[in-house]
Amino acid sequence: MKKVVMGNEAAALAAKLARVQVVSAYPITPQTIIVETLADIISRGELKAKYMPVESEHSAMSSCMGASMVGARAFTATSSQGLAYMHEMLHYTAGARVPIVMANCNRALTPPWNLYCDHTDSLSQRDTGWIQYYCADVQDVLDSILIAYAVAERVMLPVMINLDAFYLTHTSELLVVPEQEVVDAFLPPYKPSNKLDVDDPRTFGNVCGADLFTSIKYKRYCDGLLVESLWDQAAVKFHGHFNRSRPAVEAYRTEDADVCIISIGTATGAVRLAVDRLREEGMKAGSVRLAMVKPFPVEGFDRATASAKHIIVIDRDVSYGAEGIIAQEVKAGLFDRHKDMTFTGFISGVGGNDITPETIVPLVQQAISGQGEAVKAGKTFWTEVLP
Amino acid sequence: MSERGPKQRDLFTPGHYGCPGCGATLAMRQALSVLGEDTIIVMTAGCWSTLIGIYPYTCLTVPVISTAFGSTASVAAGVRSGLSIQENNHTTVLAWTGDGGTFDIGFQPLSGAVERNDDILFICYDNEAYMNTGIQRSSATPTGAWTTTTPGSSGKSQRKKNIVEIMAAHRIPYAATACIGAPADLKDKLEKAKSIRGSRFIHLFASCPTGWRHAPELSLEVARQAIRSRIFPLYEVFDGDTWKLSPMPDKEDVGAYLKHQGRFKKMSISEQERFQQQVDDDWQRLLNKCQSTVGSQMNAA
Amino acid sequence: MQSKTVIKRLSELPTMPCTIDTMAWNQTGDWRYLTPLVENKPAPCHSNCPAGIPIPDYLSAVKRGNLQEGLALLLSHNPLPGLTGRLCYHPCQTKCCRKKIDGAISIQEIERFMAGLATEIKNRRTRPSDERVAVIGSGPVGLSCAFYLGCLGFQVTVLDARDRAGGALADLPSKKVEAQVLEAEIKRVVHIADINIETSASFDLSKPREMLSKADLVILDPTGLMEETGMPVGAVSFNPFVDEEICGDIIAVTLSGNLKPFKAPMIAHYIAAGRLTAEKAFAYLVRRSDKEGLKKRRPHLSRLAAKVDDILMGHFSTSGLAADAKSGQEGTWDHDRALQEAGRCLSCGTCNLCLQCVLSCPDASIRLDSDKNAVEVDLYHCKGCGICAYECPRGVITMEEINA
Repeated sequence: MKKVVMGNEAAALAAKLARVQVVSAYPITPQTIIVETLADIISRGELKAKYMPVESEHSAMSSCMGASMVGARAFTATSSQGLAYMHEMLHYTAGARVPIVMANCNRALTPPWNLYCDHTDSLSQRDTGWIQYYCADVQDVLDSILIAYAVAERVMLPVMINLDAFYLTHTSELLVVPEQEVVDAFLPPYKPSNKLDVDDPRTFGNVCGADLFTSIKYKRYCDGLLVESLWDQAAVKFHGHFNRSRPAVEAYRTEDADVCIISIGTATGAVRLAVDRLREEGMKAGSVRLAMVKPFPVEGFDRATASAKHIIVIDRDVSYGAEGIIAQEVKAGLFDRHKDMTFTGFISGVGGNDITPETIVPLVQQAISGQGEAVKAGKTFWTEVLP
Repeated sequence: MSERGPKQRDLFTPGHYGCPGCGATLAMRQALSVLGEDTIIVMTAGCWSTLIGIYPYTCLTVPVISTAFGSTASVAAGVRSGLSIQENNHTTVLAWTGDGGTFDIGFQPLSGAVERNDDILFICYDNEAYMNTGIQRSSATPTGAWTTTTPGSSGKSQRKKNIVEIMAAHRIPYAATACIGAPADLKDKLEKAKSIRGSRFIHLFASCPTGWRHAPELSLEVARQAIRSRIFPLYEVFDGDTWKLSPMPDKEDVGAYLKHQGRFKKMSISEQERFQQQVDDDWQRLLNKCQSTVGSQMNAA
Repeated sequence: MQSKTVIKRLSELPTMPCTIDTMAWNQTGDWRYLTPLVENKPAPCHSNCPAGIPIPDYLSAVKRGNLQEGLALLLSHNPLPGLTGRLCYHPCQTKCCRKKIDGAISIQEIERFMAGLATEIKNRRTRPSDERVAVIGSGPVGLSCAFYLGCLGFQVTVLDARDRAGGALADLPSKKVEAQVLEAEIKRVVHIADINIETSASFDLSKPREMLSKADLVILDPTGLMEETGMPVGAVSFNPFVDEEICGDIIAVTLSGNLKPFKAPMIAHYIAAGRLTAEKAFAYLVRRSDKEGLKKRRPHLSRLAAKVDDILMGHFSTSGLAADAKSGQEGTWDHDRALQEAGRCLSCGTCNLCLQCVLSCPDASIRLDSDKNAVEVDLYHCKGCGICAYECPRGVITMEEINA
C-alpha cells in the first residue's frame, strides 16, 4: 500500500507494524504527532499495546525500561529538551542492555527557544551508548525503525532513530507501507531469555565493585563494536523482504571522488544536488551520508572515502569549545589516513536554517580552492551568522 | 531454612550490608512474607539499593530492579505495563523506595503514576532522612530532628510532609500508614492492598538506629512508641475520601519517644512542648477526618 | 567461610548485568561484639520454689493438654504434689510475673489438680542396683528421699515404727490433709519408685552393725521419727542444704532453722531435703562401689535466672479468667479449669517458640530449627544488634560478651 504521510506518521506506523507492546511518551513539538497517532491507533484497537501518557520524558524512558526488562517491546519518542531531560535514563537503559527504540526529532536546544532542526540534541548524547541513526526521508523513517528493532534485540542495545524537525517530521512524502505479514516475517516477536522473571529471580543494578564494573562496561563496549556489521546484516535481510537498501553508510558518486562531502539527515538531499552541480563543473565530488553515526561506521566510511583527498563535513550542530560533532567523529575515523587529506568543517543549518545546494556549492569550492571567506574563517566555518 | 514451609524458597537471606538493628530490612522482611515470591521489586538509590549486596550477589530472591534515583514509580509503572500486555496481571509490582525517592526526588513520577492510577503497590520505607548518603534531611524529616544538613540546635524547622494526605488528594483506591512496630496491622494492610487494583500506597515507618541515634535493640520499641505517641498514627484512606483509623494502643506523651533518640537531644523544653502540641493538633485533625467519614457514611445510610 | 560463585571470564558475565548468587558468603558475624545467648532460665516461680519444681515447663505441658508429661515434670522434683497442693505457702505465686498483668497464676490449685490424676507413669529402672538403702521414718523427708533413691535404681525399704506411714504428716488434722489423700500420695510414691514401706517396723538404732547387715546405707528421717532420740550410735549428722558429702553409712538427716520442728507449710523444703539427700547418697554409693559411668541427673540451673524486668508485658494480653483465679473454692479444680489457668502462664524464661525473635531479626540470623524444635542463632551472620534479646517476651535471650 502507498500513502502520502509525514515523517512522524511514518514513525507511528513503523511502531505499529513492529507490534510494539508498550508506548510511553511525553509530548513535545515536533514529536507530538507520533504520540497522538499512536494513541489513536491503540485506542481504536489496531495495535494491542499499553499507552502510558507519562508526566515527563524522564518517566517515559524509565517506564519503557521497566517494560522492556520484563520482556515487552517498548517504544518512545521525544525531542531536544525532552531528550536532555531523560539523559540520565539514556545512560541507564544502555547500561541495562534493553532493546528500546526511540524516535528523536532533532530540534534545537534552548535557550533561546527554537523549535526547528538542529542535531546538537542527539549528538550531545553520543557517549550514552545508544545506537544512533539519522533518517534521510519518510521511507527511511519507517524502514529504519523496523531494522532498529531487529538490531536492538540482537545486540541488546537501544537505538535512537533521528528525524529532522519539520524537514522530516512534518514533511509529507510517498510512503510504501509494507504488509504486516511481511514485517512479521522480518521481525519476529520479542522473546528474550534475559528478563526479570519470578521463576529465576535476580537483582539487576546493585552496587558493583571496580573489578567487575570495568568488565561489564568492557563487555558492552565490545558488543557495541559489532553493531555496524549487525546493522548491515539486518539491512541485507531487510532488502530480501522489502527490496530497499538501508546500509549504515550511503555513498553517492564516491567511487572516484577526490572530494567527499559528509552529511547526516535530510541535508543529504541538498548535498547530492550540490555534488551533481560540482561534477558538472569538473570537480570529482561525492556525497557520503552517515546513516549510522554511533557507533561510528568505520568500515562503510572507509569504503566510501577510499579515494578521497579532501573531506568536507557539514554539521548541523556544534560541540562548544571544539567543533562540529560529526567533524570530530569523522576526524577520528580518518586518523590513520589523515596525512594524505585536507579537512574542512562547516556548521550550517543550525536552528532551522535551510541547507541548500546554493549554500553548499560555494562552500565546497572555497574549501578546495583555498580561498575565500570559508578558508579565512579557519578550522570551522559557521554559515548564516551576523558579520 | 524457610520459616513458611518447605516448598517456598527463602525470599530474604542473611549476609546483607544493613546496619545492625536496621528497621528498613525488617520492613522488607515483613512485606515480603506477605507478598510472597510472585513479586517484582523496583527499588531506587537509597539504603536498600546499597545494603542488598554487592554485584553479582544479592540478599533477595525475588526479581529486583535497582534503578536511577527518583524513577521508582515510573519504572514500576512500566513493569506493570510490560507484564499486563503479556497477560500477566497476577505478579505484584512492588515499587519500594525510601523517603527521598518518595517525598522528594521521586515525587513527580509518583504523582504521575498514581494520577494515572497505574496498577502498582508503592511502599515508602520511611527512615526520615537521606540515610544512605549520610543522614541528610529530607522533606520527611520531622521538626526538631538533627541531620547533617540541619545541624543547628533546633534541627529541622519545617514540618514533615504529609505524604498520605497528598496521595489521598490523588483519589487513589488505597493509601495507608503502617509501621514495623505493628506487623499484624501491616500484614492486614498488605493483604488488603494486594486485593485491590490500581495505585496503592503504603507509608511504612522504619526506625534507623544509625541516623536517629538510638540503641539498635530498640528499633521495634521506638517504632511502637511512634504509634503510641501518635507521632505516626495508623490509618487508611479509601478512594481519597474515606478515612479510617486502625486499632492502636492507648495514647502516651511524646517524651518517651524523643528521649530514646539522640537526634532530638538538643530539643529544649519549650520546643518539646511545641512538638507535643503539633502532634496533638495533627492527631485531632486526623480524628476529625475519620469522624466526618463515619458521619457521612451514617448520613448516607 | 561459605563458598560463593565467582565470575572469572568475560563470557560468564550476564549481558543484562544481574546477580548470580546470594550474599550468604558474607560473614557479617564478624561485625558483632555482643552475641545473643538463647538459654532457658528458671522463671521467678521456679527460682523461688524450695523444691526447685520446673513450674513453667509443667504448666506448658498442661496447657497443651499433655497432662502425663506435665505430671512427670512435676514429679521430677516433687513426689507429693497432693500435699504441697494443700499445705505449701506457695512462694511461687508470690513471684509470679503474671500478677503485673491481671493476677498471679493459681499454681497451687493446678498442682492439686495434677495430684488427683490417675497415672501410668512408672519409673523405668534403667540402672537396677543391688545396693540396699534403709530409710528410717516415713515423713516427707523420708518419703521424698526414698522416692528418688528408688528411681535411681536402689532397693529401698522405708521403715516406720508407727502403724501408719506419713510421719509428721500423719499427725496433721484432716482439715489440712485428708487421710485418703495422704494414703494416695504414699501409694503413688511406692508404685512409681518401686520401694517398700514397712509400718510397725522394729529396729534398734543402738545396734548399728545390725542395721548395716540389712542395708548398705541407712538414712534417718527427722520428720518421720517418733521422738527426738539424739544422735544414734554410729550415725553421722548430715544437713542436705549445707553439707557437701555424705561420709558415713548411717546418716541422720539434720535440718536447722525454721525447718525444726516440723511445720506443714514448709512441706516443699522437706521434699527438697529428701531429694538432695538422695542425690548425695547416690554419689556416696557410687564412690564407694567404684561404679563408673552412671551420670547424675541434676537439673541444670544456668547462672542466670529470669527476672520480672526481662518479661515484655506488652506482648501478653489480659484474660478474663484472672478474677476467678483466687483460691477459696473447696475441693479441687476440674480438668478444664486447670488447663485454662495453666494457659495463663507466661512461661517466663522458657522459650515457647513464639518466634518473636525470628520475626524481628533484620538479618534473618536467628531461625527455627524444626528438627531440634528450638531457635538457633546463626553465628556466621548475626550482627549482635540485640533486637532478639529485647523482643523476647520471656527473657530467654541475653546479649553476652562471648569471644569467638
